[in-house]
Amino acid sequence: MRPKLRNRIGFTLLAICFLASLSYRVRSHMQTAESSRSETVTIRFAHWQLENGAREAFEKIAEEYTKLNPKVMVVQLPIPEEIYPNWLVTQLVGGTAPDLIEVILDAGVNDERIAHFFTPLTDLADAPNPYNKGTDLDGIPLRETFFDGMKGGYFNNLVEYYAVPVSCPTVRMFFNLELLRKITGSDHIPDTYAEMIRLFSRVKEYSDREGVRIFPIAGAKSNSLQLMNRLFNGQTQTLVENLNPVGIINENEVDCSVRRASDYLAGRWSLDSAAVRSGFNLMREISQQMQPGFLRAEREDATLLFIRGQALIITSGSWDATSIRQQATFPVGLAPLPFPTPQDSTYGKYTKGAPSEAGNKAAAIFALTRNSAHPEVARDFLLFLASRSGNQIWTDISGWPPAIIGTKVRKDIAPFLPISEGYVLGLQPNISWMGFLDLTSCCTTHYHLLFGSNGSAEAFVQAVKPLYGDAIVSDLRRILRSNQEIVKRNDTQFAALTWIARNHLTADADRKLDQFLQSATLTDRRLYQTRLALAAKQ
Amino acid sequence: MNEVRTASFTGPNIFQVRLYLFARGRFIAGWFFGLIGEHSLRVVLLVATSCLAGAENVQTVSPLRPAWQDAAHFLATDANKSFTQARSHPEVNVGERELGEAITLLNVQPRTAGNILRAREILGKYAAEASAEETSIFARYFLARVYEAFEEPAQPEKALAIYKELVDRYSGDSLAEHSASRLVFIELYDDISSKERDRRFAELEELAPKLKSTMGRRDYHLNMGNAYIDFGGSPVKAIAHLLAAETDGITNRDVEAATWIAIAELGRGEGEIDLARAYYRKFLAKYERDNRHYTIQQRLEALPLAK
Repeated sequence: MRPKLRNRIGFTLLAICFLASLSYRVRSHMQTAESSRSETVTIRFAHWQLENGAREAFEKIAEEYTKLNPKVMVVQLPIPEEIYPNWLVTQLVGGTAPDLIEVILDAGVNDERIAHFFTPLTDLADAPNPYNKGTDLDGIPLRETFFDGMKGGYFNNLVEYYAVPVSCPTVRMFFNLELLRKITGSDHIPDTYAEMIRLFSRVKEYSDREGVRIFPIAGAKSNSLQLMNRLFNGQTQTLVENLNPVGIINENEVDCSVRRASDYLAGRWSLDSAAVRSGFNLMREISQQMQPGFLRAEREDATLLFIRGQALIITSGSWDATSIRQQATFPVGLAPLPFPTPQDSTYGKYTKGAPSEAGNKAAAIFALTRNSAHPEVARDFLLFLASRSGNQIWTDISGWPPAIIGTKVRKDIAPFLPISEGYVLGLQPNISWMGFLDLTSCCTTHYHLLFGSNGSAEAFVQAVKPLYGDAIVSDLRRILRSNQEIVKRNDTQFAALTWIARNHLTADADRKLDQFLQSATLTDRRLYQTRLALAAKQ
Repeated sequence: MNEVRTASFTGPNIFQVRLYLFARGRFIAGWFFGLIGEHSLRVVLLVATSCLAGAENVQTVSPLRPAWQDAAHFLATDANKSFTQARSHPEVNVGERELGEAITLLNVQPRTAGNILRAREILGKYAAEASAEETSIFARYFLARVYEAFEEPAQPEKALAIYKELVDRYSGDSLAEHSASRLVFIELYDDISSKERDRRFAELEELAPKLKSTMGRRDYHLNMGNAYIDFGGSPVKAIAHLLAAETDGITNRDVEAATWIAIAELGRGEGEIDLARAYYRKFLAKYERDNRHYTIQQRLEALPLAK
């Protein structure tokens, strides 16, 4: 072929490509223009609830919202749990975050990031939800329509509501009722801890008799310690009650963790305290009901063991209920965690009884990003999500317990409703999950001495005792540094709020300053208590 | 707070509208061509906002309001840039701008000794200005905070001296009276003997009559009451302080719930059964969704019957 002809063909192809590209761009531009003319708005919201039922529920809520607001399209972005924190931070920092985001606190999101990347929703929380019109919640401020008073969406240090929750999660024991019937001849779920222990023996007898390997409890690193820590907590309720001055009760163990740590350093309790020993014995007893190596198992491994009928019980949260029910080929029963009562002959002496769930905070919280192109529409969608009807769709399809007062609950969801009758918890083996990192590490690296086949509470305590006090001191130093930083950061906020209030720069300045001061005082007190505990130790 | 100034908004005149549109035009142009930075834009918008607000309102609505709001939302670095860049703004009050710069410098990241020193210098300058009392109180309080929390090593004696002076001299000012709370923490949560702590408790008790602002007084009483509990001090005094704090108005739910339980428990211990009963009932009525509800219900039922 002659070079001239080849050039002509080449230029022709280039021209065709250029024209095709131009035509595509023009068509695409026309479509965009058409879309803007029709004023359709798209709202995107991201979450990490990939459990069965959750995505379907969000889809239906979006669909119902579009029916009410035909010019709005709502798109959900389900992101896997493993990558969610990194994804979230990248989107926020990159300015590409969707309109609404489910926030995971401490996993990449802290107060600064909330303030920087999200919009306060306090005005929304203070006003009635228009989507509740015609219901008994009509005219009631949004925050008052939540079981928890919308505490789950309130950020103490920022003195603002920043998020809207959708569910009040709880943890329960899931039973394989078919297996239970085979083992005991009935599907009666034990009511007491003593009864539960008898059931565990019968599982072992059945397993030996039938020649099948069945474990009483399917354990994983996440749910096994959650269960055993709660039981330990129950054993230390009376100890903590006696340590607290003049009968004061704190709502949770985080509130009084620094005091408990300083009590330990002052010799007011120890690993040899009878209640603490009893707690470790109880942990060991339960650990022996789980499959070997449970501390290294993932949540999915334990679920598989339960689904295959190789374990009678699994401990999990309401978020897993629909997934477990859909995958199981047997009927599933539910019961609260088995707490020994004061009447229990072995473990009754130190306990008050099962814990109260009355103060559980609502979770799965959605916040509005500052870079939302349509903040008003996104806020309106949040109101629908938090309405009685929106929450009804949520609970009906997801199988999760609701967050909004008066939402009807199906029979199979009812066992997940928080149990109000109960007591405040005591200590955890690591005092508290909040801040006590060295103590947690000290315990977890020695748990094989407690849970192993030749383990015992005695072996664990003897190994941990020489390290326990130093770990507390190291954690208190970290807590002190962290509180010092919070208090320093609060100073700029305090100064600004004071200036705004003194010069009447915003309408709600006095209220914010007042709230801030009370909240900051709690941090100040914790800081000074920590400093004093460390000074006394030196 | 202390002084009430009412802002009365009037409609913009045609000149102001033109100026606003001009500023908006700059904003759009800047947005597209990246000719001016985000913080310059803020200043441009500040000019537009202040012009639109009308001549008589320029004195009441500070053009630095967005910067203060950023600072109130933990955005110290952004706020500091706005305060710094407003230096050449003709409508901005120099004192307000410099104090804003100082308090944000304390938390500009990374925190440097140079920034803390500059903040201390600014605060020191305004603390010494006796003519502007409110500004001086503001500067003194945060100067004390710099000595107490930001300087390395800390200079608690200097902080204590300022806090004491603020409480003594500026009765009725809520910020000055907040110093009383700081004195409670610094003096009592110290590694000292019980005897010395008792002496300090007695000294701090003398502050009560001086406090006139509700917020300053409430927080002082709250912290004194809790300190008596923390150090096993007089339950009668603890009750008195907590009741006084409640009278001044506790609005934070967590603080209110904890205070009511403390009053009831202290009352129960002192044989003040009616007081205990009243506060148990108040708690039960308001805090139904609280982990302590069931326990408090039981404690109420266990109280001896009223005579």
